[in-house]
Amino acid sequence: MRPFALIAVLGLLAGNAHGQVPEWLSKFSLHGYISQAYAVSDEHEILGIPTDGTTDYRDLALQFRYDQDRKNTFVLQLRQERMGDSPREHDDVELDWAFYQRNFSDRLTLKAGRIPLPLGIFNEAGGPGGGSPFFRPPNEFYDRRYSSKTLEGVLGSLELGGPGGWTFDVDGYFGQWKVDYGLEGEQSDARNAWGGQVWANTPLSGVRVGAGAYRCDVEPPEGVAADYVMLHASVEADLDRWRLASEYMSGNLDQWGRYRAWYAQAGYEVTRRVSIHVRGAVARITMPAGDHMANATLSEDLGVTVNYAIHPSIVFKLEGHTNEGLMREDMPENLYGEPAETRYVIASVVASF
Amino acid sequence: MLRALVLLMMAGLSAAGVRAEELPFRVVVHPSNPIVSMSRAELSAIYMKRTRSWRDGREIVAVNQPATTRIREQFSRAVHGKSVSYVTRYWQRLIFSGRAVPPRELRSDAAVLKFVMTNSEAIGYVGKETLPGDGVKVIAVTP
Repeated sequence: MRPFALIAVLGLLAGNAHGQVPEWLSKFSLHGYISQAYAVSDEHEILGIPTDGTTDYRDLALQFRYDQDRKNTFVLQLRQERMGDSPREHDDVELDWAFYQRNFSDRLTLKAGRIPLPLGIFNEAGGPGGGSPFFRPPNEFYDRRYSSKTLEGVLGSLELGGPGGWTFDVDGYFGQWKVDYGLEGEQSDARNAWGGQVWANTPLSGVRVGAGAYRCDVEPPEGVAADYVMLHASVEADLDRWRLASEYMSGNLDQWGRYRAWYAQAGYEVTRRVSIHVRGAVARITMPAGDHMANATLSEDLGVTVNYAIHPSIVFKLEGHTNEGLMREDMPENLYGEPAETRYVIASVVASF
Repeated sequence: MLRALVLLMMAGLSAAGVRAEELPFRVVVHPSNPIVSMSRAELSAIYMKRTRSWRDGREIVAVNQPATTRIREQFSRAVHGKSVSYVTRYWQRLIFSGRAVPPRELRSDAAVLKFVMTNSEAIGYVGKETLPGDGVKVIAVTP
C-alpha cells in the first residue's frame, strides 16, 4: 500500500501539469481519483459495511497515459478498492488496466490488453472518478458475479454520425475475464467472452440510450461450466440541472437460472455546489430448487444522497440507504432464506484530477 | 444585383463581427491557420474532442482555461450550453474509461496567447478585454 500511496500523493501534487514542458513530457498525462468514506450499517453487515462502522472504505486509482502520436496510445491504471469487512475484499493494489490503443482514424480505434469493459453507464469509468453521485454505482446492476470491470482481450470502437444530429458509439469485444463466485471472494474464469454495445447520442445534448449483450463460459472452482448470456439496456439524461439514469439487465445463467437487475436514478442540482439524488435498485434471481424454479429477491435498495462540490473535482457525498434482501454478509449466504432489512450510511469525499 | 450582393455580404460580415463581440471572450488561432470563423457547435465539438482534425488533416490542439475561472464558465455556457460541472463530468467519464483526456489547461490569457503563437495547430480563448496582439488571429464565432 505504501508505495502506491506515495505515488498517489505525488500524483495529486503534480496535478495535470500542462505548462511549458518538453515535447516528450507533453505526451504523457497523469490522472487519478481518491474516494474515502466512513460507512456504517444498523442491522446486518452489507457490502462490507459493519454495524460498528468503518473508515476502511475507499477506492483510489492512478492512471498513466502516453499518447505517443495520433495513432498510438499506451494506458496503465493502478487501483485499490477497500470494502471494509467484505469477504469479497481484494486488498492489494491491482493492475486495473494496461492496454495499447491504435487509432486508425478519429472515429475508429482498437485496444488490446487489459481493458475497461464497455457495459452500461458506469462500468468503464468506475464510480467515484466517473461521476457517480453515490459512493458506487448500483451493485445490483454492476454485481461482479455476473459481469466484470475489465476485459483481457481486444476491443474495437467506432463512432458513427447519423442524420438529424444523432451519433452512435459502437463497441465490440472478445477475450476473457473473471467473475466473483458467491459472496466468499472466490473467482471463476469467464472464457470465450464476446459481446458489444451501442450508444445512440440523441440530438438533445446529454441524452443518450444504449443497449448491449455479451456471452461467456463461466468455469467455477467446482462443478460444471455455465454459458452466461446477458442483455443490458441503458438510458441517461444529463440535462445540466437534472441528471437521470436507468438501466436494465437480464441474463440467462444456464443451469443456474436467470438474473435480472434494474435501477432508476434521478438527481437535481439545487445550486452550483449542491445536488440531491435518489436511486432505487432491484436484483432478482430465478434458480433451481429441487424439481422447480424458485424466485428470490437478492436486493431491493433505496438510497438518497446529497452532494456538495467545493470544486468541480472535489465532492462531498452523504448518502443513506435502506436495503431488503439476501446480501447480508454476517451469516452464510442462503439464497433460499428469508430476506432481511438493513439500513446503511456512507459519508465520503472524492477528489479527482 | 452586384451591389445588392455586396451589401448582403457586408451585412453578413458585420453581423458575424457583432456576434463575436457579443461573447465575453475571443477565440484565437495561429495566424497561419486559414480559418476565419466557426460556429459554436463546431467549437464545442473541438473542445469535447469530437472533432480532432483541422480541415487540412492536422491535429487540433485546443487549450482551455482553469475550471474555476469566470472565463471558463462563460465559455462553457456560451459554447457548450452547459455548466463547467457538466463538462467536468463528461471528461471524468472519458478519462476514467481510458478513452480520452481533456484539452490542456493553461493558467492565464497570457499563457494561452503564448501557446497559440508558437503552435500552428492550436486554438484557445482569452478574455474580451485582453488584446491578442499580432502573433495570433482572432476568429469569429457564429451561432
